[in-house]
Amino acid sequence: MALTRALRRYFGILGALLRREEESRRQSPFDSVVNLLEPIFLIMLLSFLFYVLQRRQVSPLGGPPVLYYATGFFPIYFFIYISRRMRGSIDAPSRRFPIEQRLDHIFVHIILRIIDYSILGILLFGAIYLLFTDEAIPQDMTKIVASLVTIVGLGFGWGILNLVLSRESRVWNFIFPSISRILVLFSGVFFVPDFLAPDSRYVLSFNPLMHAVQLFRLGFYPQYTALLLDVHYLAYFAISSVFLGLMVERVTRRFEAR
Amino acid sequence: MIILERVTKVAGAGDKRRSVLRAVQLSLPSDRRIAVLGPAGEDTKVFIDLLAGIVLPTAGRIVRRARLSFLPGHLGGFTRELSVRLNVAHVARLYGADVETIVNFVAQVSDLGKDFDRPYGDLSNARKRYLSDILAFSIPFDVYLLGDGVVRLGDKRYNREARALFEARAKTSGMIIASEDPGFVREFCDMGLVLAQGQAWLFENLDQALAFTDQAAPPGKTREERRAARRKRRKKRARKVLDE
Repeated sequence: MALTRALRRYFGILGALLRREEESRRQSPFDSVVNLLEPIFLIMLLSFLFYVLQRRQVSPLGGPPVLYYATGFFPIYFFIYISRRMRGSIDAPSRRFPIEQRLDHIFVHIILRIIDYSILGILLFGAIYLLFTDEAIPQDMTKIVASLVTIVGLGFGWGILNLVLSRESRVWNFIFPSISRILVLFSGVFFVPDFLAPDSRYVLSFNPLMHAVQLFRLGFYPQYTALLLDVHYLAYFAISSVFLGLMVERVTRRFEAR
Repeated sequence: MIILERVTKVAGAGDKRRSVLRAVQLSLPSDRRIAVLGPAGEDTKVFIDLLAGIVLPTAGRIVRRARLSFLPGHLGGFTRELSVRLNVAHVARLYGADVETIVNFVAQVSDLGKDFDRPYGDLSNARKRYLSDILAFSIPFDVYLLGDGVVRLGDKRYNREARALFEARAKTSGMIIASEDPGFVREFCDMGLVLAQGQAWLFENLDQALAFTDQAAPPGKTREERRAARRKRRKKRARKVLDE
């Protein structure tokens, strides 16, 4: 009984925080729309750029390049948007009510991102379906959801690390964006990792996001073999990231409370 | 019941670095009105902040088997852009109180009029603090924590409502009060906790606690003298701020 009461109370707190976010968004709807459109715009722009640069009419996996790039960028940007800006959701304990914990704010941040991205995904792939190709309808929803769940795990862990490091040194605020951009390059968004030389394939296979992108693409391209994909590696990496994040949050809690 | 399990707290930085608590094992009842006393007034504030969760213990753990209030006058956690009404509703929801009752009550008592539907950030600081006082006392808690702000209650015309609320709550709920005003403490408290030299002593009898506080004080100065000196310092600081 005590457990159910505690759980109900905890979800009450999360609900209150979520509701406040929703109210603040309603206060400035334009900002939220711009936030949501930013990744769509980026994906469209980059797809167009690569389309022009490579002059390719079909993507390496068949179908129009727009879908190929969208399926690559979407999971990567999901990771970047979860792990970055997490800092905005956190304040010193004197800046919030004692009943709200730091982790609550992190959870609320992640829940909001997931809602945003679900809407964004439906809009993006819906638009591609209407404008470009019928293939934009996912073939295998489980793979897509699995991929996104692991990305949430990765984003949670690395987002907390990012948060703590950016508190420690300002330099990190410049390092992390560059790392995330480099990750985009090395996650197999522009190329098919299976077609690379064995050495590069071996190096790339350490990047968990590469696996997540592969898994995500499998949901759209069922004929894709994805030889490099190691679901176990991805799952273990995501679970370890979650624990790493929780650990870092616990250990640094005392130092943040000033 | 609030249980402190081997709690150590090192507060302050530089020259003012000191141990407020040294591995203190203590349990505080949640249905009594406890005055937190001690020769060092700052340390009692740190103790209240510890209980409220605004600062965290250096070591050890605090188990709260009661619903503790936030400190009246607490200004963190409000959203500047949202209206006062939405902010009040948010806090009520956070603490699991009945939203409608609290909002109506605060709207009535706070006497903000049209400002109640304007953004919270537009309120003056005094009004923000006052709103926070009222809000803290209007939400039902088991234990109300009171730090620096409590003596301020009743000072001004618009603080009378908050004072009345506080007195109503004092009759039915537990309280933990850090106050340097013996008169105030005598009026509302029936138990004393003395913090000195990193240790904590709980007294069933408030007079004993007050006597013990004087004993534990550094020699040469009585409590009254220290209070006077502190008041002087505070005034000096206030003057400095005004000059700037």
